[in-house]
Amino acid sequence: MARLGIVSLLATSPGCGLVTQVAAIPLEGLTTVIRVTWSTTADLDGHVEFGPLGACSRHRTPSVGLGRSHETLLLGLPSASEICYRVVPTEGPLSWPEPFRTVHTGNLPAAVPDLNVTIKDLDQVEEGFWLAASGINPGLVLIFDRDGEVVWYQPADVGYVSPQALPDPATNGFMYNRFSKDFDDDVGSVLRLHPDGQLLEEIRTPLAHHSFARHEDGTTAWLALDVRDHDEWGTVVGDALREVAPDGADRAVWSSWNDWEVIDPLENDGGFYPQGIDWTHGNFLAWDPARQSYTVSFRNVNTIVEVDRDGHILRGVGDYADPVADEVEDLVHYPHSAHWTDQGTLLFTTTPGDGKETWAVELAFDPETGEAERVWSWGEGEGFYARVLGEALRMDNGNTVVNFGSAGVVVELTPSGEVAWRLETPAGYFPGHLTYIRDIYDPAAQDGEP
Amino acid sequence: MITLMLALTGCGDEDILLEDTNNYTFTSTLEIGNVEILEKTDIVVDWCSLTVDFLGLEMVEGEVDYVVLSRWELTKEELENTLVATNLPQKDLSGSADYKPTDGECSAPLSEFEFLGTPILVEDEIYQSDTSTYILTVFAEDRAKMLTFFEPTATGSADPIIIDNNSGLVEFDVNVDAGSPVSASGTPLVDWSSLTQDGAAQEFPLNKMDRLFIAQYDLTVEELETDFVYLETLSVDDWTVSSDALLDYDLSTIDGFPGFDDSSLWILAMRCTTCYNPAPPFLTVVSSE
Repeated sequence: MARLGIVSLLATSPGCGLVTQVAAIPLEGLTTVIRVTWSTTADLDGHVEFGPLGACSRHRTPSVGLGRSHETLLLGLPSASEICYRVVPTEGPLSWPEPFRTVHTGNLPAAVPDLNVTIKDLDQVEEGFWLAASGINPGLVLIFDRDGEVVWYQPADVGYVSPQALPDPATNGFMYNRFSKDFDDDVGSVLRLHPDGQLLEEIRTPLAHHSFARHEDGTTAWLALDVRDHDEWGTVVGDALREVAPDGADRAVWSSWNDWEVIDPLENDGGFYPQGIDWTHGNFLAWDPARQSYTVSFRNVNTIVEVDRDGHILRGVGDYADPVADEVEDLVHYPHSAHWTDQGTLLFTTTPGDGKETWAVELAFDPETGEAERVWSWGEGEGFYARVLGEALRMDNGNTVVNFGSAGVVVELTPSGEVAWRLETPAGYFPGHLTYIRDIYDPAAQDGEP
Repeated sequence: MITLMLALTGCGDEDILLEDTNNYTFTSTLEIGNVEILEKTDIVVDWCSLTVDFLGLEMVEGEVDYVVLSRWELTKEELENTLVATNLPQKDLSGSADYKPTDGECSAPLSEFEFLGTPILVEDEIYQSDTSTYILTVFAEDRAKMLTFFEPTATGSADPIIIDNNSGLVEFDVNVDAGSPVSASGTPLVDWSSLTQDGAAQEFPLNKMDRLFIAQYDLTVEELETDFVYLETLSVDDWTVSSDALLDYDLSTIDGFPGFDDSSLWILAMRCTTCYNPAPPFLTVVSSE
């Protein structure tokens, strides 16, 4: 009864002394994010509407919940910009918007690259954001919008490489991997960050390199170096797939040593790992909850395998898999970032032929025979060469994003092959892996990621 | 707000809002030498005789932090014209590797240059090309100090690639007081958030302004222009603070900075230490009169 009384009073006196002590302050060290705080004279829910000048109601925060002391973050904002915002107290369908106020976002650190969007066709691509790690030292995690404006960043981590970042569904924050840039110091870990940039947890991932994956139950999986002595070749570096549970229990799921013979590991060894001969060179790990399987791509042995959590290989293509048609065999050449699409096809980047041009390739598998065939590819004749990394992502709308790794170019292609969006990076930076974020307040709640 | 701040400029320690109209003008030219070498050969890179950088400034012996080898899909002329003007795109960089000298080393064979910790394969990476341009850049204190082109050919020399004081030259033509001076006295707060273009009329790289530089000179503007490359060494006194990720700075917080006065020539500059071009993107004369 008292509650109804308050609502009635508020409804007849909108905004009159209801909200007090509104403050909006850029976060220290993450000045594109604004923390807004306010108090209400009654227990109320509420949110904040905000946007750039001229579009003040473009975005809104999630509801803050009932209470009298409120706090929320304004996310997705460009740097060095004037932002308008207003607090909107609510109770059920009723709301009492405050007047708009303004606040400035801060500047980006010099280490944040200037990204250049050269094509943007909003009839063909979704607005939204990209969560991007860095392909090379220093480790740098960014979120940028379709204009290439960086809206969120993790300060540069000099001496480390952080090639992969993922949304963290448990916190609506982000997580990324990190390891020594020269692999000469075993400091591998996965870090979980709140959207305000605060470190929530550091998960140790011994001998980690390249890639990690996360399970719904909080288990973290990663690619680890598996270094062993070999009678013929001496110290050889293979790959292991390892998991650590939320309680800290660590187990090996699979190792290249379990299933494969070492065959001429010097063929592609470039001295990448100081621990020994670089045999398999795993470069990406994808966990597919629908298939309940991992998919791992290996550069040096031209192989992609699907592995279950018991360590059994379910399927594979390439040098260490069952023979396939020559055309498919040729396409699995230095493969990167293989994962399964919702249609059950295998999507990855590869550098076929003379190894001087990178393509995105999609393979379909005959359900009866298991035979693979190419159903889509892009990149032939385009002249992009991903010496490092590279990936292809299928979007919900059927578009495909191809990240050409160290070539410093990302394109989004329509199903007909038209380039609808293109990003170029400045020399010295290129994105590691990308994840599309439709809703920055719920970054895990969308597709577009492996 | 801008109108208000302008109106207040010159009233004691009032805030200063820097504007494009305050900026000096400069043009830069870069000349880079070229060495023809034998392709696919493990040739030594030698910077032992490098004592002066491409600005003509003395280098400290043994200060070289690393030497970067890069291969660009651009012509030499395009590189000379763009290196000092803008940040080049990664897509034009088809290869890179670096060497970090230890214990005062001043030479290394190409085969010891590394990419992501992996030594390059000289036979595969150093080859004659009609479309590629190779460049070696010496870095110290995280800044480019000297550079040279080299051109692998089938008939080139197997002698070392010498990087010395004459390998590259940057020249400036500056007009320090091209912009209207900023009126200020004391230790105001300086705000550079409104700047949109640099002194070469290029887009102002706002988030690259990682140093705020203030200096006092017993020189005329003309004398400073003549010896512009010695901007930091000719000053009676100067103060440099990190401005990374900032848009303004309260000068009253700078240790030892006495404040602007009318006793001599004062300049205020915004610098970019990660840019190839060492010229400050913004520089203005500060007038206390």
